[in-house]
Amino acid sequence: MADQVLPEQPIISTDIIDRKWIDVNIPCKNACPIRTDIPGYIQAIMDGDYEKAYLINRRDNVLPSILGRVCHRPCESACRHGRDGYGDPVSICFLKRSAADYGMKPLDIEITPNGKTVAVIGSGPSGLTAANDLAQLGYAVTVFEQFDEPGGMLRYGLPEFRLPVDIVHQDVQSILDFGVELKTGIRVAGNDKLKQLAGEFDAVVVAGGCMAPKTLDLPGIEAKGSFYGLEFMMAGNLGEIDYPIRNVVVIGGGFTAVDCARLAFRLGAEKITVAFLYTKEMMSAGAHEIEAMEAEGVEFAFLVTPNAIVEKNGRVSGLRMLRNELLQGRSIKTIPDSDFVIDVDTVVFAIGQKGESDVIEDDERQKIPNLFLAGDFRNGASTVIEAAADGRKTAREVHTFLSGKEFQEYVRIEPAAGTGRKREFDFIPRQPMDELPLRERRDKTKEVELGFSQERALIESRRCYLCHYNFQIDISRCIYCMACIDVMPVDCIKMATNIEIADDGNLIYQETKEWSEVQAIVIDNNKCIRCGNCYRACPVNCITISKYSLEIEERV
Amino acid sequence: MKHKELSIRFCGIAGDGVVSSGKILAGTVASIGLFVMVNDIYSAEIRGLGKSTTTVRFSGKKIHSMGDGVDLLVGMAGKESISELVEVKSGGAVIYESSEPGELVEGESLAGHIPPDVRGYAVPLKRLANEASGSNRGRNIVAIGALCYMYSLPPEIFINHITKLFQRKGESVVENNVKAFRLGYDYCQENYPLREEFDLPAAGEAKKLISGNEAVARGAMNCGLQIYAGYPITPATKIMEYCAKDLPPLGGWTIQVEDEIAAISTVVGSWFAGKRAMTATSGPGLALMSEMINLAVMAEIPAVIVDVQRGGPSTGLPTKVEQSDLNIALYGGAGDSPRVVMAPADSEESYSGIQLAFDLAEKYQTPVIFLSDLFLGQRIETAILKEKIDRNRSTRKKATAEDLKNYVRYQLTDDGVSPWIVPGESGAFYTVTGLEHNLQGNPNYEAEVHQSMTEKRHRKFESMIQDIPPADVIGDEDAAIGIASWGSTIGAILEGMEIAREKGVKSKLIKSIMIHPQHEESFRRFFDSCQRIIVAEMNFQGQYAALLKSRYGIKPVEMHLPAVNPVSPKAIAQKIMEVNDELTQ
Amino acid sequence: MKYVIIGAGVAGVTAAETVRKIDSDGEIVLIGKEQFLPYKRYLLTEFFCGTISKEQLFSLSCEDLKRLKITFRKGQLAKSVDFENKKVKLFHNETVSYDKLLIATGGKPRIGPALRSFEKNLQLYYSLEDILLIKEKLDSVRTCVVFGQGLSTLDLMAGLKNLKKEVIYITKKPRAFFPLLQSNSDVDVHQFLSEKGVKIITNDRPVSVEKRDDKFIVETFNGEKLTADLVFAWDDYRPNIRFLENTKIDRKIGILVNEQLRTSVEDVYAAGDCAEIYHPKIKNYWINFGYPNAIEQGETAGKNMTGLNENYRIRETLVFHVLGKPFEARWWE
Repeated sequence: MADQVLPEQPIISTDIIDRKWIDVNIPCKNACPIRTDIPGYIQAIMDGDYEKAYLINRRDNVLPSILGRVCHRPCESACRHGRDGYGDPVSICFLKRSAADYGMKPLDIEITPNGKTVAVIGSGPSGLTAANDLAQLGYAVTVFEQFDEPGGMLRYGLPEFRLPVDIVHQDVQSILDFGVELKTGIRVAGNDKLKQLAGEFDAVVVAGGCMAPKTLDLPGIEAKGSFYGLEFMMAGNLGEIDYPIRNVVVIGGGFTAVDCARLAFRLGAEKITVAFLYTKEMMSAGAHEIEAMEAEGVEFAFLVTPNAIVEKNGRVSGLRMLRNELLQGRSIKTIPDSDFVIDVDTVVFAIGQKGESDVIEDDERQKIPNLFLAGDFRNGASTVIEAAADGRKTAREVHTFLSGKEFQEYVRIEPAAGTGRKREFDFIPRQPMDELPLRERRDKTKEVELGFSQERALIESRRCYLCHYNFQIDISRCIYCMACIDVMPVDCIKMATNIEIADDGNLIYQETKEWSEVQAIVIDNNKCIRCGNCYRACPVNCITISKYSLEIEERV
Repeated sequence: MKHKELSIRFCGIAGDGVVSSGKILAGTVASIGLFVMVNDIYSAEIRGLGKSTTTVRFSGKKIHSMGDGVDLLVGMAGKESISELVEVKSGGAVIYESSEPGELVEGESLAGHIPPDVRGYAVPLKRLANEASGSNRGRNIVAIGALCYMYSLPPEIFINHITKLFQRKGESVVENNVKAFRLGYDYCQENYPLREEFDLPAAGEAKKLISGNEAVARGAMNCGLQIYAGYPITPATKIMEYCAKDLPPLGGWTIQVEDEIAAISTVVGSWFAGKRAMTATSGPGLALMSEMINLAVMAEIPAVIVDVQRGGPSTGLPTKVEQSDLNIALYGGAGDSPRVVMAPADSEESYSGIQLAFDLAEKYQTPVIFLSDLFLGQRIETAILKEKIDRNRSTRKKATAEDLKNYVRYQLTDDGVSPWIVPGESGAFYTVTGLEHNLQGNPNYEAEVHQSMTEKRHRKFESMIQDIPPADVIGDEDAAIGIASWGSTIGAILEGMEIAREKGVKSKLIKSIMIHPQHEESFRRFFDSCQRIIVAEMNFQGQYAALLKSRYGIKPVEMHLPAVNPVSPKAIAQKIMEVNDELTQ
Repeated sequence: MKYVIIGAGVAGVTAAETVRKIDSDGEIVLIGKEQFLPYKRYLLTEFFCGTISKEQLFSLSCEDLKRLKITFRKGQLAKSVDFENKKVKLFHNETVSYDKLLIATGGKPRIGPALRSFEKNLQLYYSLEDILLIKEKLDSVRTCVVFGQGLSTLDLMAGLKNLKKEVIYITKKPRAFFPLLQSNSDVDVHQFLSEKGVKIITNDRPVSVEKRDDKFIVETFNGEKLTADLVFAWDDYRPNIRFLENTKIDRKIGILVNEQLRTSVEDVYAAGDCAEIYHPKIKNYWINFGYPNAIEQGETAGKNMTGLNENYRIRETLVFHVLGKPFEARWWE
């Protein structure tokens, strides 16, 4: 067949245009702070290769079992499948969990020790990620953890019904398998301690997280029954709350607030309200978690500011609040005379965390050249995936510092004969995850989400558009028959005129409906859902598909 | 609301599957014994992205016309369907595409023009078709699924029909189409659960669907058509297509010649050789054939010419209907040039009528012009044909041994018909010419010869009366208002009369497939029994009215209906009411 | 000037009529998602019980729409608004531009996440379509389970009792409670309903509704199992503003408006059950449910859209009848 184009060799590109193509066209990957190769692992699941899917995740985000449960999923809100009119985003997070559920295995990586040592303080997501990366690069890594068990916020800041303890242990063990040494029950804090450590190790990474609550100066804050979020979580998890809680109000709009409210439900509370200064749209907790919380019967109060805790015999008996007014620019102002009191026995202030101030002083830090900060300790409270991404960033900084080697990103472009997708796949509804029945959710250790079966994971994986495939029309072979336009699912194929290539390499064109003006038929990859309709419809095989992947290596 | 009948129109452009939607819907309801009529309207352009519509009207009762307005418009192509909205009845519905990619400009969507007394149903036809089959194909089936739910029709009958229809294309095609149907059905059920009902009669015997053109072709082939010669022209081409497919296996010939003159020449030549032959054309072709028809009149050679009329004059309106070729059929020739003119009113009459046309042509050695029209020819309807295949049928007045003793081709007889032998038959020879001729056929210009020959040629038409059926009178015999019409207009009149009767006004109709000659006795009797006569037809000049006026001396109320679309029964009813008002004042 | 009104309920229709009174030339586009001419939702229960005919429900006829020069986009769902470019995007991907926009999409029963997977088995009582569908089934219905808060449930139970149906009411609260006015405090609704034959299950909520043959089996959190011919269940009645998700317009539960019913976006107004306004007297944001308010708000919004500056006067109470007893309600929940 004369017109069949045989796949060529992959191209390795460092061209900024190709890099940019990835950012624009693989929205999930671009939204992921650690740039997980999402289409890559979903395609592996599609092929039934869970091990490969796990390994991609293990390589890219280090903590697949954990992230497959508690990630805040910036990828899913970016997913093309969730765009207007195209249904719901792919369950990327659940699929990640499936990759870990069915494909987890010990890593077989050859590590050549380089003789250098690194201390990592804190075994939360950023510390673990930094330790993982550095160990793989040949460093002898020692992790210091102040509590009895590793995991940091993963272990203590998240409820077990979302993230079971043994899952945390599993992912931690996978890192320790590289020979990373873990020292628990050791709190490293203070300028001197750190200076000393910096002397003992070639580099020190402080990934102490944000364990200290942001405090609030509110009348009655000291009363019994008033907690900060993390405090409530730990007390609840450890069964240290010594009175029956009935009416709970949780102040805040983030993940911790939601987790606290859901924990309160498991602790037997009858009426739980999440009170938030702003409105629901401005809550930073994930929609998925908010929905699970609502299902458990938690209610909301929006546009309220806590004003005072009403005390009775040293115990919380109510919370006085004010109504807020939304101002331009999403700021608020309390409304005068709008105060009201609700009856509660427990108030949880889940209003944020910050780094513990006693670890190291800013001025001192500057004086220790081999001291690096990572994760939330460096950036302030964020999410698991952001912390992990920052751990990786720090590990690279450490490596560059100790070895002088830089890292280089490049794009691998492989010609493909097809994507393996069918147009019918676009209509598969998002697969629901089985959950613990409501009636059994009073048990705080029972995980709510039960995971996908392999069958369901396969079905869900087919929903992915596989955006890493680039569809292009070869203008020299196009016969302008419009067969592709007839079958396009969205307005993804355009008749173009006034075509120009901009300085930054972008293709600039105007869309036209006038036949006489058409200079080319182009595929808008940003709208393309990779359904393959055009590829199949093209009578002259002028549409080519190539697979883009981002890789990173030490610059030689 | 319970519908006694439903009229559903699909509107789209090339590739939307409009025509096949009509066929599937019509085929399905005919399969359970309903009466159906389908009318397709194409754009005038021979090729391109012009719009086309197909309208399916069905009922438990016999259907005579496409009726007035539609109950449901399925807008496969949004923009093109906007102009069809005026046809949707008050209380009717529209299905429109809601998954068109890209942004629709305000005012360019079908939805934006739906009047408030019509319900609009947004259905993602493309999306569901893709869901079913992975491509845009099959969105018409999705729409059929949707309307099946909307009117509470039983889905099984559609699924059975679709299965049968696509079986030979393979299992997966059947599966995809059934899935598309189901998705359309389920979508409507989920999103538009309130639905209307069609008053479905008990299932009857499956009915056959046939178009006027097919009926003509089948009728001709079944009564011995040997040679079909033609040149394609909208809307007559289908007749040639049927003959091309089915005539050769029967031992006949179908020839596409270079033009209409060649076509009629072939036909006259075939008949000269004694073979039943036919051509079909439309107005412009008939004009070209005039000269050759003239020859056939003069030489007393039979010919059967089908004219599927379209809008004229000249190339006119190729895809629109008109009944304006009556005059050229009757008078289009040099000299006193009588010919038989017939006009069927529906598919059943097209079938039986064309056979009568052959019989008359052969028996009376004269051309017969058979006036069908675009609407009649293209529409598909459930018809009960009394099919009988008789390929050896002949009505020729053969020369007897007695005749052959002293054979003259143009022997003067009482009925004007001379015994006729054809070339190849032994016993005689004769000359054939377009010049006036004597008994032997040799040119002769003497006054007496011309006189007697002219009389002979006209005498045939008087004796023909014995072979033509009396006109049918339909309606209330005692009605004061009588209507006369011809061709496909009859259907609308029958329904118009029904509407008027429901409003308490009686009327009756006289109809005959014979335009010339006519069973004059029955017409006279009819006209005498009416206080007022309405003559309705689809042309500007009132061609039939002119004929009736001169023939019967009547003074009718004339309806010269705008000829672009089939006649509206309501317009007829209204005229009946008006005439009635005048009468009762 | 082009006025676009999303929602053809009482507020939307009143606003359209008001605009026309003041501006005789402006273009008015009224977008309604239901397949009917504009109708008065508050009369639905009367229609349900058969005391009025379907025709009496409609507030505007085709002739009215023509006379008032209102383009009525019937059965068309607004799926998003592009405030930046002043365009409303409809379900079928057509965009309608506006100079002034009124959002009057009203409220709608919301099924919470716990019951969402059983949505198919739940009957709502909200639109004319719902009522017509219920009416079709009504003859074969004996027992109904009702779960939900708010006056719409009370209204429904009254209707069902009028039609001689068995009613089981499930409430999360310790007693059947509705936001009625203080002046009704002498009437205990819980007791009143019990007396009228409504079986009330308190401190509970349905967790599953399964269909078995022609019946529905309801299981509650506390393990109760009920069998019913129809299950009416919704968690609450919420402003119908999901189409504004991901837009910059300020919302709480409803669209936040000031006294002039202006929203946080210029040239955009909200009225009726989807608008939320701070009420100093009750010290809370407040959705002013109920038709007299919808009329009032529709009028105010209509006027202000044409350029006037009128403040909305809060109508405090509304009297309605439940099984022959007058109740005063303040219509907030």
